[in-house]
Amino acid sequence: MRLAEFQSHFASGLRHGAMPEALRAEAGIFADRLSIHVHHVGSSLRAALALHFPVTLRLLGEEAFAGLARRFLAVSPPADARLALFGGAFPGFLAGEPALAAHPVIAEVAAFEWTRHLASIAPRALPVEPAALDGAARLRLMPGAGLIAAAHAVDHVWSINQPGADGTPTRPINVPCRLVVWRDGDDLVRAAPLEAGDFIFLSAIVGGASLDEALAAAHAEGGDLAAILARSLGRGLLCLSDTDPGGDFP
Amino acid sequence: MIAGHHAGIGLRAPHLAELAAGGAARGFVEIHAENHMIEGPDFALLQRVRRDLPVSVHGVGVSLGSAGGIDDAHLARFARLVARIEPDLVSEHLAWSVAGGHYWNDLLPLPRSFEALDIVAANIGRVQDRLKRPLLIENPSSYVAFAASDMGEGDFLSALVARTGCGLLLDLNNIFVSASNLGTDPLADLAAMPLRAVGEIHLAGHARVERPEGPVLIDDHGSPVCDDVLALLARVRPLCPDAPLLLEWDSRLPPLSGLLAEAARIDGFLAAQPMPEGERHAFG
Repeated sequence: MRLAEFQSHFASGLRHGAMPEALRAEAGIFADRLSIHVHHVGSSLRAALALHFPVTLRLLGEEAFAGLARRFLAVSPPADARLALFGGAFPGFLAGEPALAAHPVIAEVAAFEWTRHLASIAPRALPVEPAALDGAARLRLMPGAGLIAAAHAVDHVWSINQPGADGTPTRPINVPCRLVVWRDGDDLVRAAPLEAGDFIFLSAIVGGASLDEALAAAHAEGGDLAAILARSLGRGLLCLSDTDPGGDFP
Repeated sequence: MIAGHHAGIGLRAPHLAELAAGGAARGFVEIHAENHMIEGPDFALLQRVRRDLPVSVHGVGVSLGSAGGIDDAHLARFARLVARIEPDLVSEHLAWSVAGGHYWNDLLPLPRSFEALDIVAANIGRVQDRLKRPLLIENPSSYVAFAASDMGEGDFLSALVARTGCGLLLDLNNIFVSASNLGTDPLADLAAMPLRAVGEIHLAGHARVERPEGPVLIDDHGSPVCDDVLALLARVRPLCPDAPLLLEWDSRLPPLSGLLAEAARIDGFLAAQPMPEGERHAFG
């Protein structure tokens, strides 16, 4: 068996949880021990998901989370050797999961957790200085910063499911929310609700609009442009689009 | 640069802030490359550690054994990390983890065939050309042997050393674990290694697991180095007296002080060994 075929069989076994017979034959009397690698790959990747989605795990429970994680690995194995980046497709997978159709808040919370995770690990960069701004400036959100638009109050669900909290809501959950998530300094990840104008402005920046174009989009919705810009700059959400994020980072 | 004969430790995330703040350390530290390829807050801590201590970079995801070659994007990240950290040593494994564009989080076994030798040698050459420095290649822990193998591990690694100019990262726990699992003699396996090319020695603990087909040693890096592995160290040390020693610990990670105490125990063990009589007697 050529090495490429050997590795294709091996990867198939890791993906689906059982080694193909052709590969077992290559291993002879050691065939059953191939499951050591199946177990290690599965358990370490499930552990990575649990680390990145602790509230989602709490909402689903250990058993359901493990089952969904197993199925997710089969459809979306890692494409990057950096384990810190494994799981970006998990919220979308949960959103399409029929068994969770009655609980869409879970996939939305997972998306919120992933955004927080990216913010926590993102490369450092310097926010743009107000003096460097002109209307034609091309900006981007700071590395790791992200926008959330959800049908549920995911930030509240997240906060009431932190260690030590009992998960009881203190305000309604079934209300839409728009949030920005970013890292403040090195250690603190923040999430703040956004007014409609702020959300439109930042969404336009994410879409590649210039500063003038993004402000015009917000103005069309009646936003207070000076206040929108001041809030974004005050939070340190913006940097120049040619800022080097320190290697490739999503 | 790495100097002296204090065993270094594998640097893991829970200990990073303590070491960066000037926590007690000895020898050097080794990082897993793939855990430090995003230049966020932890990278800044690593740079602080680097100012105080020699660092070695140990790859776990370059996948030198991949039939499909080395992933360009990952090699670029690896090269960037090496350029920024300027480590004393750079190492990877005789293993693979990438196939079909997917990354499987394990050091997966290779059949030691002539075809695999050509592929691994070409991949090592590509990485060394990019880094402009030699790699150390680590012998892995084995649970399985394959009918397609044309040679033993020592011969395979010796051929890689001869063909690529790479060095050997000799993992003595892996020697012991593989020999136990595959029913070979660890001293004979050790003697077959290209010992003159040893550039670093790894030590770690392992676990004994009962399985339906019988007991298996699992290379879990979750316990102190056992006496059998220390005995291998005593045998091989006269042949490579200057190779840096590195203690790896990953599962059930103790506090930094516990890790340093285990490294000091290894140093004490070596200091208590009788003076070597010469390498010709090391395996006599």
